[in-house]
Amino acid sequence: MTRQFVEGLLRKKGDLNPFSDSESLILSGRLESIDAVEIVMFLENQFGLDFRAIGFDQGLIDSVELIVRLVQAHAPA
Amino acid sequence: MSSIASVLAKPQVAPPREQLRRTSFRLIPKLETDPRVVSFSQTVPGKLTLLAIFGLTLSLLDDGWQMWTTLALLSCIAFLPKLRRLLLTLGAMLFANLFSFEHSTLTRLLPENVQFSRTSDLLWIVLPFLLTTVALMWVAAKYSRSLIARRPLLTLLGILGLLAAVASYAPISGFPRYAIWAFLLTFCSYLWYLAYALSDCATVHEPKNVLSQYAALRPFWGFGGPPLPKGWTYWRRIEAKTPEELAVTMIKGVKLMVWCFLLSTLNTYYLAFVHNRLGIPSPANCVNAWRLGKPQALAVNWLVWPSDLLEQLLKISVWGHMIIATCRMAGFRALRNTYAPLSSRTIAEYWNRYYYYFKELLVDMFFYPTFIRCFKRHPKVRIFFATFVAASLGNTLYHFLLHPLTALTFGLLTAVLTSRNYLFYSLLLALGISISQVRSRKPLGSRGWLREHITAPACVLAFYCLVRVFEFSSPTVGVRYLTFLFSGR
Repeated sequence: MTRQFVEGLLRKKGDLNPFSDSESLILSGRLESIDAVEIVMFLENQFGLDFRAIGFDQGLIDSVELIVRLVQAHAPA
Repeated sequence: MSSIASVLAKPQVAPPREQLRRTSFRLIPKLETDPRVVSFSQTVPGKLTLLAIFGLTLSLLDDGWQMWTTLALLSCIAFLPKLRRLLLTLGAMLFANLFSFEHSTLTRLLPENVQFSRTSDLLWIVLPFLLTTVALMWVAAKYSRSLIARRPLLTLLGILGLLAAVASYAPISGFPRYAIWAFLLTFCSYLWYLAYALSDCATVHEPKNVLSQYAALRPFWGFGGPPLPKGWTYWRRIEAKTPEELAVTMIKGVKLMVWCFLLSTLNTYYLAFVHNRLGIPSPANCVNAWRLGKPQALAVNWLVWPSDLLEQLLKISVWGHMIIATCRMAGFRALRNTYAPLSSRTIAEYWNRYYYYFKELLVDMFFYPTFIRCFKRHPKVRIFFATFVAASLGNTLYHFLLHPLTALTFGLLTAVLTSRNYLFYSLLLALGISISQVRSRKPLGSRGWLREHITAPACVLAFYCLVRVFEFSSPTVGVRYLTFLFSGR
């Protein structure tokens, strides 16, 4: 689900290049700050994450792998 | 797949910011995608070649001891990449001029028969500043729930506000007053670097490693303005991890420096053409001439804004590219500060492409903290409000803090009041960027070629030209001047 969401974001920007789960998305420039915002809202809506409690840094969601790790660590039970 | 091929297959092949350029002409070829060039660049002759080209190009743009020191540091980093962090810290120490206030207007605060003393400045200004920074970073790293850790910028602004109030209104004179202003000046110049450092310390939770932040407090590749590129934790994430990545990054650094030189040359001819040949004045002179009742020709009043926009673009490109090129040579895969701004299709996109690290500073320090706290149930309002806060309040605050000596010369209250014109300009800018941000983004290539490549960018540039009028005038003068522009009267 997370990977599909990220693919959708990239597709909207015309970026159809493949990416691995560990590949940098934001720091590499493939996604921008506004895309990071969409990822945040997606994680809040789908998994109930509260970034006000977690604290937010772009590095936390820089790859699919990091996003999944974040969800596993902070999603409410 | 070989390790070189795996590196070349990474996003630098075509990240979205470069998607538009994929099939277009390239003045400087993509040498970093050639395996032979990458292989050669990992050898001693290869590294020496890269350093030589870089150094030669840099010497055409800059001279003096900083250039030679930079080249020496880059050479050490190129051949001793494992010592990169130590060399970065050494570079920060060499380039940090913590006594820069000594020759400024501050010296007039000293009594007539007293000259500034390096020893007194060290004991009462520089050392306290260094100890303050260590203490702040240590607390942020050790106590993750503290105010310093959770709201680093707010803490720093609180300290700054207190310093400014004491410096402006406390009944002190002579050396104590000079010392407080000097501390405040130094604090101001490092504020945004400290903000990133405190955020990093709070995230990483390693109190014993706070001293490693000092490399990022004064990067040897450039200082002043927003931190390029950001802080220590960001550097670690974009650091080249393998010899192949280092080679690719250095090649891109050399390319960017060559491009910087070409832009600098273009800028020289452009300025001569616009100001000497065409006689187009600066925007401020143009507006002033109109205010005094002796306006330039209407055509000149129209031409001044796009020509100035291009001038600013060239200036910021040369400045930013020199810094990022050096950063890349040091082994960091930093994105460019300015990237194809004239191809922007929306106001928000231009804001991102024109001055990327300033935008990122506002995003990290103002947008995200606002976004995660406000209007969580209304997505579009949430994005609009956070963007508006960053682009107006953050922008105005940043520019106000660029000139702390205004408060010394004219008083703190007057200095704050003189920012109101810039605040109005920021509000207009923020409104445009915020609306642009929340509008639905159409996929690239979904509108016609003419609209995407000509009409949309032209509208975006027109917005930035027109709103810039208010950077040089009060709101009422700006409106009247725009009326003159459009009506001719």
